Amino acid sequence: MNMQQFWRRRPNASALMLLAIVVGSLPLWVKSSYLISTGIFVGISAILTLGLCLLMGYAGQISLGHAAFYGIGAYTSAILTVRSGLNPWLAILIGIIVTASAAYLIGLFIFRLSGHYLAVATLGLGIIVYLAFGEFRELTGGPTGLPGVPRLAVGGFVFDGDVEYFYLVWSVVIVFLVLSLNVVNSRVGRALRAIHGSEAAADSVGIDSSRHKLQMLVMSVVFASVAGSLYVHYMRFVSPQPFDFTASVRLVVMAAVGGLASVWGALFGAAAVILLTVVLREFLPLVVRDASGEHTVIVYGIILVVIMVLMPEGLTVGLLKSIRWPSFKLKT
Amino acid sequence: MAILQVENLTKTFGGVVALDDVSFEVADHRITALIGPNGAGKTTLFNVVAGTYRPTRGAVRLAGQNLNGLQAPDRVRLGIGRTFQNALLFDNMTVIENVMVGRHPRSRCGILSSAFQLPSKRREEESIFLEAMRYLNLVGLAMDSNELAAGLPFGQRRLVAVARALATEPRLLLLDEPAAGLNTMEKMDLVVLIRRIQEMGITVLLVEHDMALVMQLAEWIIVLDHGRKIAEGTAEQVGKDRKVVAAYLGQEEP
Repeated sequence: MNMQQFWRRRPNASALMLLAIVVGSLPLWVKSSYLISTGIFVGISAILTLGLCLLMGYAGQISLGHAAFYGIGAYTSAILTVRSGLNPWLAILIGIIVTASAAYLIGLFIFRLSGHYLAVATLGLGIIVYLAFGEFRELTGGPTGLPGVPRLAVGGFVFDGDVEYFYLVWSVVIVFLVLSLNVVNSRVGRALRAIHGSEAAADSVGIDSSRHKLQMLVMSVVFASVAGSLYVHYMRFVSPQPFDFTASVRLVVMAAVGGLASVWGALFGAAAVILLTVVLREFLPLVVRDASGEHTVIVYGIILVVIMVLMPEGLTVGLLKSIRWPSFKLKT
Repeated sequence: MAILQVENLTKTFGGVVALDDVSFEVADHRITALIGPNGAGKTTLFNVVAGTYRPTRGAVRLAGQNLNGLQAPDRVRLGIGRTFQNALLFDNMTVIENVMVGRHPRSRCGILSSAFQLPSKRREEESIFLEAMRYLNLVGLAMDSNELAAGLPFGQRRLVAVARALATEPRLLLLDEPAAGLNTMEKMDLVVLIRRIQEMGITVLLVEHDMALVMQLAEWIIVLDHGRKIAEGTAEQVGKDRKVVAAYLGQEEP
């Protein structure tokens, strides 16, 4: 069986292999530490966006405070390793449990109601959590942050270089991609698409919509929590700023750019928005004097509106459809 | 024996009384028709039985078990299947996927075993597919299994909806106007299909406006008018009932 046949028969497996090859070989020919570091941030954002795409695209629910879950993961890792000297991997696990429990409790109440109440609830949570990071100084270090987060290590091997960390982050991305693809192409994924198609009909075949939405929310925030832990162990420092409202908006933009109901789109969305952020940081001050983070939010907002109007399925899906590339059909 | 018992069912929407103290029983394995003029409350009754609406008063029992308080998905698990007037397919999915979704209450693979692709998931997916194919075959649409549901003609959409409902393995199947919009040939096929469903041991309760079809199929007929049960009996008994004739022809009652 030649390459093209294989691609057609197992599109996801082929794309995963291609991704693994690209990511695996990247540090071999990219020597700029700035680019590798950017690659790490793209990977962390991709994990976050992947979770958000599952939630928005498949469960049809919007989280406007996803940075809060990202932040809870980050702070749990930082606090437990710095203040209690806990094993970092154990701290990551505890972070997952804390984040998942928080989301579970919210979802339990929210999904009994229909409509976009999750958006409102997560918006509120995002603000509360962000303020809490700044206020509980004894625990979080306050607005100035908490330094001294240890590096991750497996046995004697320490992830101390950017390249090593790049591989670690992207391995997690690939594992989460596989998990997401498996869920999307399963009984659960089918049930979620059914809810999306018609909630009344889904009811009539015995699908408990709130239960499935809740599961998706929990899966989504587990991704966010892991991303947060990976972030602090890379930065070795945590402060509230990366988890503010802007960060939540940026995540929604990434998901929208990538394509909501598309697992693969999450990667492109994360990459595109991170690169845009880098470009904006360089060029926006040339156009608007004293441009700050606030100005980039305006740009994100404009992008979001334009995409939603012109390509409601997301930029990646929209572009792929307009190209009509016959053999390029990913099953998501 | 009665598989479905409707007891003093009342449903009001604000001030509007959609169902007014309706009681009847549906005998096991029998094809029963629910008829009445537009706005008689037939679809409302289906929605109360299926659990979409909560009754204002009264009770619904399935094989003796009181269903009050149970949500629609729980009732599907207990054995109530239904179709809708407008088919209400998942248009974003293929025909076979629509029916596969119908296997949902009879399969159990959750988010974790799906994510980690456990062997139990593969086995279950296989059996979901095969079962779905079997039901699609029953309604004669196995050839169209990979079509997108949105692209099917109306008559076939109805059949997919029936296959989807059958896939949930109901004991009682509620069919809401299954013949509306079908041509004569399709109606004949429908009669055959409903008889097959009955032979499978499933009790059928149908709402239908096509009287020829009702007379042909139904062994028992319940007549609603303005939310009240005005008659029930065999086709012959109901056809002679003065109140039924009045309801349909709009005569004043003496």
